[in-house]
Amino acid sequence: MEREIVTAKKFGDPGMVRKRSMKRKVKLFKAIPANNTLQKEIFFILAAVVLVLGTLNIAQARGLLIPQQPQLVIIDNTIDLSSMTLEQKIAQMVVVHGGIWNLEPWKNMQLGGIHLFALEREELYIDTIGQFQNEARIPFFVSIDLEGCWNPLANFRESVSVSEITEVGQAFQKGSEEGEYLKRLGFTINFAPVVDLDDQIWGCRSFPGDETKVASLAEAYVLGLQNEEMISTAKHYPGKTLVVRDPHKYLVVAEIADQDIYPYQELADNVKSVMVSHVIVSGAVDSEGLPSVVSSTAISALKKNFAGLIISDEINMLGLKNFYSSQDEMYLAVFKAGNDLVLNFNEDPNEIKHMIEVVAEAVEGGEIPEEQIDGSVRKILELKGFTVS
Amino acid sequence: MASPKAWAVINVSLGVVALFLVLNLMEVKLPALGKSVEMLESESFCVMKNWPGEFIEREIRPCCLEKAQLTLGCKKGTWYYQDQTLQWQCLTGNGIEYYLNGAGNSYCKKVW
Repeated sequence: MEREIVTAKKFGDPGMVRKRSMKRKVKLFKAIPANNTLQKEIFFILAAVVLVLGTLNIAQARGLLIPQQPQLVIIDNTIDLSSMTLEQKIAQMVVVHGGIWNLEPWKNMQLGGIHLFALEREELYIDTIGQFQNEARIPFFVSIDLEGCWNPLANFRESVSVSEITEVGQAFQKGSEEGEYLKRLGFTINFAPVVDLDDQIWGCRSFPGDETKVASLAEAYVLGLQNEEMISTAKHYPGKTLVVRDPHKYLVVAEIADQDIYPYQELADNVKSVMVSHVIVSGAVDSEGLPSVVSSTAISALKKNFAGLIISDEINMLGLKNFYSSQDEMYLAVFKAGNDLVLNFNEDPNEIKHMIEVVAEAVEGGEIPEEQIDGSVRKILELKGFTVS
Repeated sequence: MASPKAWAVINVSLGVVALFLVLNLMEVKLPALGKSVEMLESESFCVMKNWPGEFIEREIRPCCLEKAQLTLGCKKGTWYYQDQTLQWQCLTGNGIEYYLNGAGNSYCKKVW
């Protein structure tokens, strides 16, 4: 007690010395200097610390603390896979939303691609894409969903709905015109055509007719688009994606018939990529109770007949997330299943970085074979025009 | 001039703020945030008017993604669908329309 009073006295609060009943307060305040000058000094130090920490927090939230990946060595347009870090390889398998506010983190992470949403004018697309591609050692895939009635460019350019296309020539012309236009804006992939046989939701995203008609119109569209060096994507494997479901009940199993997968079989030799949906399926393709995008059985069935790029549908869907106890588990499942390119439109750069780290750890731990990652990266780099050694 | 006690309170508060900022930098997430997000999700509602002009109730996540992909913005007003009052209308260039209630719109803003 003697010592406490002396301490209190030293800091100049006479009230605490006079009243023994204030013993508890003395104890409380003995650690807090009563001298205003010292308090002010502490205040300024703490304020500075809060300011620095606040700035760091903002920088972190915007992904500005994410370190830049080492620069790749590219000789004569050839990339040696063994010169890439595991993180660089996995990053090449990721497509994110190309919001310009994330320009720096996406470039620092050397991601595989960006996907663009609706913008007001075509100059904005050209400018955004230009900024992303500027000085990128490996260019980004730049994707869009330009299907027809589903048209992010609708603010300045009309697009004929595929449901109104009945002739192969029309489909080829549509593919050609859209390919030429998208190429001019800087796009490299169009996530089209839709080859689902029955569009009950939008009523305009599918070609009309039975499976043979849909396959022939889709093939013509693919050839037209790819003729303009635009990668075309048949979607949404294995079908029944545009069928109305109760929005509160995700666990509905769709029965896939042979007709549903017919367009994919017909397009296998021509189309460069296929997008896999979140629908749980049985029948001609069985996803074994899992959403198709995380079902290695469903994806293996596709790979039997198709050697091109396999793209996941956007993975931030509640129906998919609810299948797993954690987000990390879901990330692993999507990569493990055999998708080559994973669409994750989460705007948080730290989350994307985290996903890459989770997958890298799983590869290092032997949970995902590195050969599988290498196989996917090889396809991606070759489609980007590189030779891979 | 602030009293020593006031200074102490200010400094302790700053210390607590600093602590939270450090925790945030270390990516420590507070569980309460997840709970509130979950509550929001259960109240969210989205309905879409398709090309033939039918109204279809949609799962909130795909609805948000489609709205983000296809529209530039939404306008506020009052629309009715069955027993729901919807406050936001989002138009695409091709006649497809999305309608959201307040919770749905806030949720969509948070995710995309």
